[in-house]
Amino acid sequence: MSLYQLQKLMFHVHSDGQRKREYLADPSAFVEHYDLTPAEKSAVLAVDIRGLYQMGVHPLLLRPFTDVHGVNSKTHYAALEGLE
Amino acid sequence: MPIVFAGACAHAPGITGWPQAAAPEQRERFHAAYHKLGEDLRATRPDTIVIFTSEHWANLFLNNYPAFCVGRAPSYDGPIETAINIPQGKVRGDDELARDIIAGCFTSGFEPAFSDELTLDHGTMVPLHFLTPDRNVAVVPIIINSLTPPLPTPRRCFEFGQAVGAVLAKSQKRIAVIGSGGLSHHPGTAVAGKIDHSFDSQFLEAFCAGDMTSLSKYTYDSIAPAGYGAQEVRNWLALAGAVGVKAAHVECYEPVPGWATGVAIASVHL
Repeated sequence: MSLYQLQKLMFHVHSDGQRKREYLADPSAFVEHYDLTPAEKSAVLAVDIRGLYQMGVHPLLLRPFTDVHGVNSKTHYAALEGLE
Repeated sequence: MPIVFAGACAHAPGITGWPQAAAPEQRERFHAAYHKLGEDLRATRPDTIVIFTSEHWANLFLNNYPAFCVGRAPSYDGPIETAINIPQGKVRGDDELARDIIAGCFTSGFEPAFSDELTLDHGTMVPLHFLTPDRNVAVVPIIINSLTPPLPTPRRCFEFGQAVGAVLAKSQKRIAVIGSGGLSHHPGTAVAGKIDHSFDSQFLEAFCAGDMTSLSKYTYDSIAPAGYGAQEVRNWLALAGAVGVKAAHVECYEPVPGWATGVAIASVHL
């Protein structure tokens, strides 16, 4: 579990335009810049909204991250249904 | 020069980003009140807007997260988000006043962080969109951590506001002070859209009465049931400290599920 690294990746994609472009150009290469577990890498690359939320990603890091992938609000919140 | 204007306002991104998500009558009432707050602010011809605000992972991260951070730049970029329908561009900063605020705080028991480069997000840009749509008033953004615990206590935020207010009272400039954020909301979570009317009304009642006895009793835990976003009431408490606790009036309060927030506009009677 490396929540700090996971959130750092999302912080960079949200706040740094150059990194965002690099991420979108090649997500698989981009995630290698962060010290993530295999499960975390998979969750990022699959944009596993529910899984990332349950890993403890801050809601306001996760929502911009899903938005980058064109996930609309309805889909985002549907993925979280039943969670706290 | 005493502070010439003070008010508090919500900054939920839906206010500008997805206005249609609110019921039309709620949206119209709220936008009208926000525009009116802007007209009233501009009528006082402020040189600078000092805004106690929140930021949401636009600049600050867990490698080094300050409780308080004063923007000290001569200009800022913003907003960082494209989805909030506010044109991206420059906002003029008042670095001179920021330096005075920082220096004053350091001599009165507060040591805020300071930053010469901040990209403003909806926490500051939504208020500025209504308050100074032409972006012709300089800004000093003062970020209070209401995002990632541990947070400064509400009482501490009030006292920080007092330290900032002492500097503003000595300034030769005409200054407007704004508290940005709240009220109840759980953005991005599985319970987003849940609004706590009881929390919102109790907070507004105490704020408007200048009831520091009640306001100073708020804690992280007592605010938490209203949503982690409700922790932004710290910005309102800093405003109360800066102006010396004055009565205020709720110009508008609307619980808007589509914006996932109980949104309020209040003007302070100086």
